[in-house]
Amino acid sequence: MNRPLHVQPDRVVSTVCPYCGVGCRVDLYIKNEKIYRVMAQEGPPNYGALCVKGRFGLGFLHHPDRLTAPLIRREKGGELEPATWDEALSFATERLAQIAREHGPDALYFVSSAKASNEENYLMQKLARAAAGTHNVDHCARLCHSSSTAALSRSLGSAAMSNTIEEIPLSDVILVTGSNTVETHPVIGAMIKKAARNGAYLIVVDPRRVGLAEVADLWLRLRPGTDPVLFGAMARYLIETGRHDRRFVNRRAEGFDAWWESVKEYTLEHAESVTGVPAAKIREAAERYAAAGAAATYWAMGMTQHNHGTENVQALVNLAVLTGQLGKPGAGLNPLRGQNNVQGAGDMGALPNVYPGYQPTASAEVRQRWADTWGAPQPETPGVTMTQAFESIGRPGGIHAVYLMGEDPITSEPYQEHVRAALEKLDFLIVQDILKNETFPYADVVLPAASFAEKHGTFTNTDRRVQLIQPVFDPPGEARPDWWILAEAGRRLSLLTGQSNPDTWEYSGPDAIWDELRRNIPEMFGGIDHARLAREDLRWPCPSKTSPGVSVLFTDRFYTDTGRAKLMPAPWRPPAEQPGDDYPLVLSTGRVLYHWHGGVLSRRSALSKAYPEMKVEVNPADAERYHIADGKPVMVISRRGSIQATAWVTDRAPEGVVFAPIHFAEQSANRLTKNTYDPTSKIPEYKFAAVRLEPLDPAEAAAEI
Amino acid sequence: MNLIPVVVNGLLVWAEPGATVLNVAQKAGAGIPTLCHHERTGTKGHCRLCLVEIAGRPRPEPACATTVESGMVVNTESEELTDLRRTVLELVALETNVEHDVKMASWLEEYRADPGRWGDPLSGRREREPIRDNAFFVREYDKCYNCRRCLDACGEGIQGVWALSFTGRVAEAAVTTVFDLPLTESGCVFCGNCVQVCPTGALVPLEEALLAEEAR
Amino acid sequence: MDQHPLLLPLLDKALERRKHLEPADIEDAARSAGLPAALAWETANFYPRYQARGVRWLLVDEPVLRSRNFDELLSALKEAAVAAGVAAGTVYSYGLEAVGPALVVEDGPERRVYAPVDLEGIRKLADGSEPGTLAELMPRGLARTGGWLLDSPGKLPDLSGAGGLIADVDSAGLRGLGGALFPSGRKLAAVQAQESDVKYVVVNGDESEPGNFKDRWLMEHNPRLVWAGAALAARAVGAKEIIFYVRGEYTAALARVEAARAELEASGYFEDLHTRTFRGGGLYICGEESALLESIEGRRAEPRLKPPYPAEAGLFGRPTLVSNVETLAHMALISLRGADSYREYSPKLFSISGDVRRPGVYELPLGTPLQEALETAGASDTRAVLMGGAAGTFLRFPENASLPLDYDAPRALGDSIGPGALMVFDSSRDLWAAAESVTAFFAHESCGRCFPCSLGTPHLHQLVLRWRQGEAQPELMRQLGETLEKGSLCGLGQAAPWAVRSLIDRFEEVAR
Repeated sequence: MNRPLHVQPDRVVSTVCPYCGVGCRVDLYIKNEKIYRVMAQEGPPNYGALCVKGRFGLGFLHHPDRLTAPLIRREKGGELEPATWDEALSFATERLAQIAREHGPDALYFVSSAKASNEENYLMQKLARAAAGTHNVDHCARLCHSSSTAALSRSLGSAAMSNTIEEIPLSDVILVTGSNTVETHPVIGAMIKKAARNGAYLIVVDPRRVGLAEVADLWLRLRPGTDPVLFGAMARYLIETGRHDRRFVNRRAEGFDAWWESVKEYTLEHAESVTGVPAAKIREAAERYAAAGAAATYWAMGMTQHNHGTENVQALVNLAVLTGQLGKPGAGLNPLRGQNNVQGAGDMGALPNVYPGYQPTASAEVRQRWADTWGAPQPETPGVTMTQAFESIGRPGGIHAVYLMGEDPITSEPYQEHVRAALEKLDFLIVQDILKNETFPYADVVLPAASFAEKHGTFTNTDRRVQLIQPVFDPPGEARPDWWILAEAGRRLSLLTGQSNPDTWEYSGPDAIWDELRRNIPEMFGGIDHARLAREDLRWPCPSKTSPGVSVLFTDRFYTDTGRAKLMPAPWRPPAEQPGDDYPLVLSTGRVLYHWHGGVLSRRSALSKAYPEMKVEVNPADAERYHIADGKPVMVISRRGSIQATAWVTDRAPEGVVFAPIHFAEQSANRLTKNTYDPTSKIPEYKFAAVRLEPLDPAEAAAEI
Repeated sequence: MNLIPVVVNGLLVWAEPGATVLNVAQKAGAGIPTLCHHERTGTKGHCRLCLVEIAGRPRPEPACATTVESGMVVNTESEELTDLRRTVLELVALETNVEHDVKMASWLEEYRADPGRWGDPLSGRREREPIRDNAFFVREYDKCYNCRRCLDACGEGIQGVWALSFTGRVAEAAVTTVFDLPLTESGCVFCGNCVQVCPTGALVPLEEALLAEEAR
Repeated sequence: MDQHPLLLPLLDKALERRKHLEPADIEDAARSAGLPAALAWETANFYPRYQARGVRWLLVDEPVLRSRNFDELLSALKEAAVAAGVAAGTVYSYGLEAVGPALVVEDGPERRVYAPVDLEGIRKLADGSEPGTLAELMPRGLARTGGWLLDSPGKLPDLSGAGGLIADVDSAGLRGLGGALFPSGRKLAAVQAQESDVKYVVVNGDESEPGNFKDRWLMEHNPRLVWAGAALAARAVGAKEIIFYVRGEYTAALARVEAARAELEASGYFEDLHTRTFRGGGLYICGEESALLESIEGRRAEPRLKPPYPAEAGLFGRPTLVSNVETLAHMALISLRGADSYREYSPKLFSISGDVRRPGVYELPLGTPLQEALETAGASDTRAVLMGGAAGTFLRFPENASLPLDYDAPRALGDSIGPGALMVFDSSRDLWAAAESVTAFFAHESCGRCFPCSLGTPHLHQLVLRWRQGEAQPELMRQLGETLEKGSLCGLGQAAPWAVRSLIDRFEEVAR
């Protein structure tokens, strides 16, 4: 060991960080069966860098809240009792089969996990489609990038980053919108900052003074929820002044006329009045973006989590197509994926409308192919989205049973009270997870899963890189890898439903699962296998054993039926709930550097020491208006609920906007958010709800001020 | 790419244009000690251990900061270079706590270094107390050589945060935080990229420091 | 100029307001300068005036005084300081070797300089009386000869003559007179050859090396000539902006240089050239050309790795001519008088101090024999000359009496006239005491960047101390000297061992 260590490791294991979609490669240093040091590997995607979560936030692996034995609640109202795997799996599959018999297979719902491996996501959707006979499967991308998927798929035919992380230094202009990249994808955030220091022109479009806004060459601080107008106006201005890429549009795009009609009213002046951004700044951004040799666009939840999330992303797509900023190095449309394997979960078909490889369930030919593969007839009825599924519980024809893998809807779904009520009405709930979470008390069966550090498999990161993970430890107690649990459940459920051939559930390990899936989606994964991944860096599409994978998508054609990019109108509609007299402020929710989503992982690690409690960002002007003092407790109240938090008075939040992180289950921001959805992607409108602020102790607050 | 000929210790090697002499010489099998240089952060030229002789240059040049040129004749070993490296290694080892630097230990042996011949340490480095001001890592600056990799990782090289800063001159020059603040108030984002690049063990994960403490 | 205002002037403005810097001042300045606060803070930490607090009495440590009654004066100063309840210490060369001993009374960022002072004066300090003659300005009369450089130039050269400057400087044989003696014509041509729409000329007025004070004299008493040379050079290389970097401690020089600039600008002399006077950081290392550029950019004055040289990538990455004060004055003279007559005379300024009756600045033709130079200054019983300055070497006298003081003859012996300092020691002086001052100076001025210099200069000083206490370790000294000379990143560390080494090599009778 050539490192200056204070402690010599028992072993060092190479794997992939489990937090965000950057997919940083790490070496874990182990002593006495604990991780004491995490080092970044020098190669891609992270090139020797990490963030605080990957470096210091893996303590959850050793936390006492780890689930270590299967549990069964034999009857409603009873206790969760320890059980053997055989008992638990029999109980679980028999109840699922029974409900399917009583209410039809579409009464079941399967929630896959963007934290689980590709192989496991593949098995979860196979469980739904082959063993249960329903397309009712989804995963948390519904809550994060479903809007991106919707817009990118219909326009370009592929819903992943079109370009790659290693191209960041090649961009002349970088446009980041709706992404607090330095906190949510810190390694990419640092790369973008460095690119800006090295001369790339950085445009940030965000209502909040996020980290990148502070180093941006141009910061457009738009009003929340007005994005399509801004990007529509940029595009309209470029067309009007002949600054777009006419040749690219003529040769490689279609749908111009209908789109042009849709932006007729989006003049710079109109955009200024709607977005609050001076027309001159919008013009500057448009000119810079269009004139760049290579302009890359990055975005995240700030774009997608709106009732017009699909339109937000569509407006970005239109802008990129009109300026020809696609199909070349350093350019492109790059949705920054949240979870470590959210790209893979989608690729694996853990979605209600597509099979693995984004093959549409609507196609009879596709259904037949999978029916042949699995020896299981495939349902014609389309699946419903996860958000629709939760809304349907307790309603006629609604969902009766839910199988959750690594999902905690109590903290992650909008309008928490509503979710609680729904879960209480549910006939049967399976919770399969590595740690106790907020949904755990509602479970009828608890299946303890192995973490990323206790199993084999692959994750696909945000730029389509497929990476191997490997066991660092044995799973605690009776915990088993998700793939093992799912294969067992699949075999048992198949026997009970008679849907699929039980033999198709026999797997020697994740590599065998991978081989099954890659044979069926050769154009994406044909050239990738576990043995090759152990030696090479590979990303999809990788159709052959000799292909290194494709970095820049769309160099000669788009993956649409015509091969052309489809321009589409992206009409703006105002958010569902406008601030008014009783609820005068806009609530926006999101993440902070030190925590992860529902906090299940990060709050069970050293990270919680750095950020122990809920803080909401309040603009100084609002603080004065509503008598809120910095560092003091404050109530944030919406029509749906209220939470207590510590006020952080800062101009990071614009006037009229309160920002709340989503990581604190006991004061969950989702008590406040609204269960309105984008009609296309069905994503909840997490980024916009009307709230008011009250000091917790008005007398004290008055004294302070 | 057209490779260019370079002679390293009498051996003809073909190098990529733009490569550093260090890189090319190491590939040619030359064992050149180097402390400060780090590819990723771009740190170079501070420690002077990788000085090599280049024909036609008046004095030795740092291999890490010198780009190869066609026909360059490089010599990485000579009595003069050995003496020079030995002296630098001795002074570093005299002034600094090098107990965790395994590479330093092997060089001290290789160069038959005798730090004690310079008498007592003159700087206050070895007296510096560990700084434990955050939940993630410890700063034990008695072990710091001023290679500045951490500074570059924090600022220009990787993170663009500039929580770390530098103070003082001569042998008392030292890494610190902006305004000497605790790291928690310095703007540090605890990416730990400084810990990653630290070659001496001066920056150490808290878990590791605690384990080491237990072992003692 | 870079789009942001420069950091050091911003810090100086804050310092004027408050007499010391608070973190908030540094943050404000950093924001204005477009630098991260951590960088601004490390810059503020680096330069002494930004940390100065309270009253300190500082005896100026330089080789000449060290060889005389330095110890006696210092202990008197410390005694007086104890009595007065203030701090006492030393500070390095103020360019007052010719009028020393010198004493600095520091009050926060402000300093008053007295020279000469004597024992009596120092003893009276505690009573609140002045310790000697106030010496903010170097006496004009320290120029002991007249000459091209030391007399007022009268008419300044016309900038339209800049077209032939590079060729003229080349044929005149001018070299860089900051001490490196690099051919000036080549340096000009290198900057001129760069293709860039922005180029700079930076005047290096950071003369800080013990024994040298001719640049100070020029800045205080003939700054128009220097500005004229800089303007000609700017025209010749295609630069639009001149920054005159004046050593931080030289407040009078700063004022004189700025006054000359304002006057020339008002007269339209600079035409469309932008000019500014820049108060330097106040450390010897600032005189290293790339460190000087760093300090203008608001950083710690640490030398850069070369290549690239400033001619290719200098200030803010632009091609930059960094040229010494005297060198630029010579360029003006070459333009005024023609390369041929210049070459015929080849004037050079010498700073002569120590055991001479008339210490001061002398203009002598290059090649003047050492003995003649010393006689001109009134030397007698000379035993050794420290030539060049702290970064110089001890020469035996009279063995080297006939040595021509030119660019090349001393080099054949491993010596150099450097910037032209001649510190003269008669047979009564303790040369090791002078050497101790030299090594203490380097051990104080090393920037802390490269390992050999930052660690080696204190140990070299320590070896000298031990030597003086009777523990001679010539082998260690030689090895450390080699390491410093061959291993250091810049000229400071490379030159640090020269004086000591020349002493042990050439003065067997003192090398016990």
